[in-house]
Amino acid sequence: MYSKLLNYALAFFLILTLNFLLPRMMPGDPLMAIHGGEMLVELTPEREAALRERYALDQPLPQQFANYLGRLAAGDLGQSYYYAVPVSELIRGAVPWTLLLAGSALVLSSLLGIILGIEAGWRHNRSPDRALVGMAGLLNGFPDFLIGALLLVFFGAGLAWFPVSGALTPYAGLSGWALVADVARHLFLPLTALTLANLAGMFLLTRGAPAATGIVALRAAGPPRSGGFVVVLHSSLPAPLGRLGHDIFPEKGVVRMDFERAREIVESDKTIEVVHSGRPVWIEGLNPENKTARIRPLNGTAEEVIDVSVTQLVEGRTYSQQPDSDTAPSIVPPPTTRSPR
Amino acid sequence: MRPVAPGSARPGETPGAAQIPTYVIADPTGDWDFPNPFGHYPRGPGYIRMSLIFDTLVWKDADGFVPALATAWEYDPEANAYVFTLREDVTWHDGTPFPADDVVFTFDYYREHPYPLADTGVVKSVEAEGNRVTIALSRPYAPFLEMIAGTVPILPRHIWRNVTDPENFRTPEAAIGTGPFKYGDYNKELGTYLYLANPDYYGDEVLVERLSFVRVTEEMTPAALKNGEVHRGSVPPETADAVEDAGFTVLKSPFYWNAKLMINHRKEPLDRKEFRQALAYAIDRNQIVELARRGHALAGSAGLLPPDSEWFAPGAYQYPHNPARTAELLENLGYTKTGGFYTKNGRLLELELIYSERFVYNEGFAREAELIKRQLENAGIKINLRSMESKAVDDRVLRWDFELAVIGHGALGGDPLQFNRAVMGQGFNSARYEANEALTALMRRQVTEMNAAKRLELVQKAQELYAEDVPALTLYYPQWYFAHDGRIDHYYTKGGVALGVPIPINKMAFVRP
Repeated sequence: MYSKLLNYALAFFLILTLNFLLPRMMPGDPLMAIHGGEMLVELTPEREAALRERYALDQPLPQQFANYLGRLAAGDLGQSYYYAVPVSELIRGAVPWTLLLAGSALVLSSLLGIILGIEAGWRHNRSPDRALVGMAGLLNGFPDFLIGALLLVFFGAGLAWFPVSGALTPYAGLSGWALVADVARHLFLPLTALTLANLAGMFLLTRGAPAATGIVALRAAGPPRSGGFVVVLHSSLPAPLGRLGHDIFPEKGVVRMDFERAREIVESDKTIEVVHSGRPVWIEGLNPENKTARIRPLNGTAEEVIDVSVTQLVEGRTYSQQPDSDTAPSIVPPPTTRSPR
Repeated sequence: MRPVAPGSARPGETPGAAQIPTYVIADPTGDWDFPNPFGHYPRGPGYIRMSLIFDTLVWKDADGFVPALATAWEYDPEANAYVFTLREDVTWHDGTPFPADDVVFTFDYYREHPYPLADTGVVKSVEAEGNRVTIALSRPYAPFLEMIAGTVPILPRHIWRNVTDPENFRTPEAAIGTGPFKYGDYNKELGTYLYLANPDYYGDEVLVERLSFVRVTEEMTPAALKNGEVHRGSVPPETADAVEDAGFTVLKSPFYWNAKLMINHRKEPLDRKEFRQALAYAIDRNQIVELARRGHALAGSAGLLPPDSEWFAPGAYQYPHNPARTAELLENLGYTKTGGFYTKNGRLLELELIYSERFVYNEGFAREAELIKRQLENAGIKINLRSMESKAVDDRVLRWDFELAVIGHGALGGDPLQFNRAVMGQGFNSARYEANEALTALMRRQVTEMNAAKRLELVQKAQELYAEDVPALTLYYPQWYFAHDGRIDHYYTKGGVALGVPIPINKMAFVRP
C-alpha cells in the first residue's frame, strides 16, 4: 500500500518536473513566443528586461522550479504567460462548458451503447444485431472530427437547421428556458458528433464479452422468461462499466489479466468467468515460463485448445460455488476453471 | 465611403435612432483579451477591439489623417514640437468632461507603464494650455503622427491616476473611453465582445446600437454569413466568389503582409551579394503565387514594401526569373556545374531551407518550400528541406543558425519606420542587415526627415539598395478576403488602422459619414 503511494508520488513529481522543464527546453522562450512574431511591437531591450523580470524568467532555473513547486503546493497554478491571467481562472472558465459537452456525450454514448449492445447481444446474429454491428463497425472506423465536419456541413452550413459555431447566441439577451433552448440548439451538433464517436466502441464492448456467456446460456434455455433482461444486463455491465471507468479514471478500468491472477483463478474454489476474444473459455493449464495459458472454448473440443498470453484474457464475473439462479444463468452450469495440471 | 444624403433613412428604419440594432463580426480566434490599452494582446485584432472604446489625438480613414480628439495639429520645426487643438465638447463614457490635462496625464502614465504598441520614448514634454496641447520631441521624428499621436490611446486621469498595476485593472471602469462605443461585455471563454453605441459621442451619430464580435472559423464564416449569424468576417479565398454571388460585399486586402525568404547573409557563401542575387534570379516568385497560393497573392517586390504602399520604390530592381543569369553569377564566383549541381573546390553547393508547416495567421509554408527547392535545384543549387515547428524556425533564425528560411510578417503598409524594423530591427522577422553603410545611413536619416517628399526619396533609395543587396527576399504578399452584408461601409484604412493594422474594421465606418 505504501509502496504504491510512493510510486504515485514519484510519478507525480516527475510529471511536475517535466511540465516545468518542457516549455523551458523548447526553442525560444515564452517572451519570444508571445511578443516576438508581431511586427507591430518592437521588443526593445528595456522592455524585454522588464517582461523577463515580471515573468521571473531572469531567475536561475532551480529558483524558478522551487517557486513553481511552492506556489503549486499552496494551490496556485500560476499565471498564464499567453493569456496573462491566473491559470486556475482559465480552467474555471472552461470547465462548465467542457462538462456540458464532454460529460453529456459520455453519459449519452454510454447509455445508448449499453442499451443497444444488450439488445444486439440478445438478438445475437439475427438481422437487427447484424445491422447494428455493421453500423457500429462503420462508425468506429470514422475519425470523430470527420463525423463532426460532416454534420456541420449538412445540418449547419447546408440545411441551416443548427448554428455553425458558438455555445450560445452571444448577447441575444436570452434568459430562462429561451436560454436553455438556445444552448441546446448550439449543443446539438457537437454533442451528436461526440456521442456517435464514442457510441460504437461502447456498443461493441457491451455486445461482446462477457455478455455472450449469459446470453448464450439463456438462449439455450428456450424463450426468455421474465427477468431475463435483468440477468443479461447484470452479466453485461462489467465490461462497459470498466471502460467507462477507464474513460473517467484512466488508471482503473478493464484490467487485463496478469499471470498471478490467472493462477488464483485456476486455484480458486469459486467459478470465475474468463473470456478470450469475446468467447468464454476454460483455462486448461498455465505455463509460468512464458506466461501463457492453455485455453479451450467453453463448449469446445480438444482440437480447439490453444496457448495464449494471459494478458489476452479478460476476467468476467465471479460466481459462488453453487451459482445463484437469480444472478447467473442456471441451465448451463457455469464453467469451473479448475483443471488438473 | 458611401455617401448618404442627410436625413435619408432606409426602409423600415427610424431616422434619428441608430439604424442598425445589432451587428455581429466574426473572428476565427475570438479572444484578444480585455479591450483596454493594458488588457488587449499586443496584436492588431486586440488593438481594433480597444480602439472602438478609446480615442487617439488623430485618426486615419481610407484617405489619411482625420481629426479625432484633436481637430487641428501643426508641426513647429523651431521647437521640434507638435501643437494639437483639442475638441471641447468631449466627455468620457462616465459623463466626466475631457480636459487637456488628460493628454498630459496619458503621456506621463505611459512613461511609467509603457503602452506595448507605441514607443513614446521620443516625447520630451507635454504641456496643456486651454484646449491646446504641445508635445515636444527630443529629436526630429517623422513617424510621430502615425505611430504615436495616431496610435496612443488617451486615458482618463480621474480613473487611472491611482492605478499602479494597469495589467490587472479590468473592471468596466478600466474600459471608459471617449470613443463611439461603450464597453458592454467581454467573455474570454466564448471569445465574444459586446459594444454599445455611445449616445454622447462627440462625432456624428453612431450607426450600430449593439456591436459584437463572436468566434467563427474562417471556413464556417460563409455559412454563418448566409444564415445571418454574423454580418462580417474574413472568408477563405476559394469561397470569395461564391460569397459575392450570394449578395455580400467582398473586400480584398491590401498587400501589407509578406512571405519572406530569410537568407543568412553572415554565413559563407550567402555573405556574398552576388550569390544572393543568383538566388533571387533562380526563384520564380510568380510561379510560387500561382502554385502555392493558387493565385491569391501578389509576387513580392525585392525592395520589401508592397506596390500599394505610398512608400513603394518603383525603381527597385526586381530580379526577373532568369536561371541563365544565376549560372553566370555562380560561375563568376568560381562554381562549376558537374552533373546537375554546382560544386566549388570539390564541394557540392548545397543549402538547407527550414520552414514550418503551420504558421500564425497562415497555413504554413510547405508548398512554398517545395517550390523553392525545385526552382533552385533546376538552377543547380542543391536544397535540403527541413520542416520544423514555427517557434523553432524563429529561434534558429534569431541565433543565425540557418542558411535559408521561409517566414512571414506584416506591418508593411504604415509608416516606413516599419521598413527599418524589418531590415535593421533586432527581431527574428528582421533581416538584421547593417553591412551596407549607405543603406543603414539612409534608414537612420529617413526617420528624422520631417519633409514628406524628401523622406519618400530616402525611403525609396533605401529600398533600391535593399533590393540590390538581397539581404532577404519577399516572395509574395497574400491576398485576403473580407465579406460583409453591406449595411456598414467597411474600408481599408490608409496604411492600416493606427500604426498599421491591416484589418478593415475602422471605428469611423460605424459613424454616420
